[in-house]
Amino acid sequence: MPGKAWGEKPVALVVEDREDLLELRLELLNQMGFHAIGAATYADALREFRSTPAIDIVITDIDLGESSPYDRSGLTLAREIKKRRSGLPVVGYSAAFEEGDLNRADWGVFDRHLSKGRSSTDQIRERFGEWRRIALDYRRGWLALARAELKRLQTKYEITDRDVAFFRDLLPELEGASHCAGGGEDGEGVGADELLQRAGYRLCLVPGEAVADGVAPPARTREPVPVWLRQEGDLCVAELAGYPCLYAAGDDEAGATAALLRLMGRYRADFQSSPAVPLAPGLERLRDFLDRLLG
Amino acid sequence: MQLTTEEVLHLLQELDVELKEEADEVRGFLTIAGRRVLAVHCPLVRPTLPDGMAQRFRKALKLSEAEFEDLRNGALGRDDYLDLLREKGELR
Repeated sequence: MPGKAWGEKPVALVVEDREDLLELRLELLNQMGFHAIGAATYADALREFRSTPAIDIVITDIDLGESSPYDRSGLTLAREIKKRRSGLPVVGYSAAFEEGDLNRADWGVFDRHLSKGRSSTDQIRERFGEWRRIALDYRRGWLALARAELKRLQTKYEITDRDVAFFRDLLPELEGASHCAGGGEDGEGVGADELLQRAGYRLCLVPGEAVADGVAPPARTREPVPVWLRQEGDLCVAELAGYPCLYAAGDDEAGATAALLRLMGRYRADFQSSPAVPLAPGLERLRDFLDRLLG
Repeated sequence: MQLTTEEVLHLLQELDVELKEEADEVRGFLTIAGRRVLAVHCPLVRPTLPDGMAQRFRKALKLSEAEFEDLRNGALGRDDYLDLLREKGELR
């Protein structure tokens, strides 16, 4: 399964305090068609979760060895994640499910669970396959929400097809994609998001309440923000859906989206610091758009 | 297309863009007669920008590849650039 396209590879955040086990788990999950990223502590996991909007599933140990031999920070992590993104599948992968260390109410926090050290390789692979399916289901739902949100913003701010018009100039392959699919001059009949996905773009939602760091006055997203992500060589590029002229790059998805939020926050601060300066209509729309997205 | 961050700064200065430089990016507004008309920015991710970044920068200036080359080699000055934007309907 390593050759799977991104669309078929859910992003899994794997939390395990033992380094050797974490490495093994990441390797196995990657073999099983995931794109797995790891974290060894509660704090690291929460940081990854906040900065990687594309996570489709969280697989966590219960005992992250942080406070005591009876540490349960994996459970706290699961609750915290469910509080922020209730629909995101969270799987408990721990011996605690076998040892009766958790009560039934605690089990209910997890969408699935597996007892560590009690399952055969075949059973583990079977469970990983099931987790992959629920992660992809989650992604499909999230993507539908992102598309609906993008559509809503496009209608509200009259920016229909701006993304395709912008990207087409940068990406000659979009022309080919449009013709292959029988699309018209503006890509009609194919769908803007489908065209862009063929060119390697992925539509993601940066969650509401995401903080733009390094910006004064402080800025955070009021509601989910649709963002196009694309890997270009060793850089990941994030572009604000509906306003692709606002883009940023980073070493990875988290770095690119953080840089984009920072840029949005800075432009908003620029507008706020000189409210009397007249703006062309396009910039007025951008100012209003940023005000709408950032609180 | 290869473009250095040094050249990005030079081009923006040539066009008299009202600039703000941060450690990780340069951004600003093209301002004409006190009115901001265009937002332009460029992430300073590498000393030499990858092609995609350079193309986006060109695109933000509303220039075709040929026009951008003219700007780079000095054949397109600020006044010519503003005329070009007017021709394209970007300026009234």
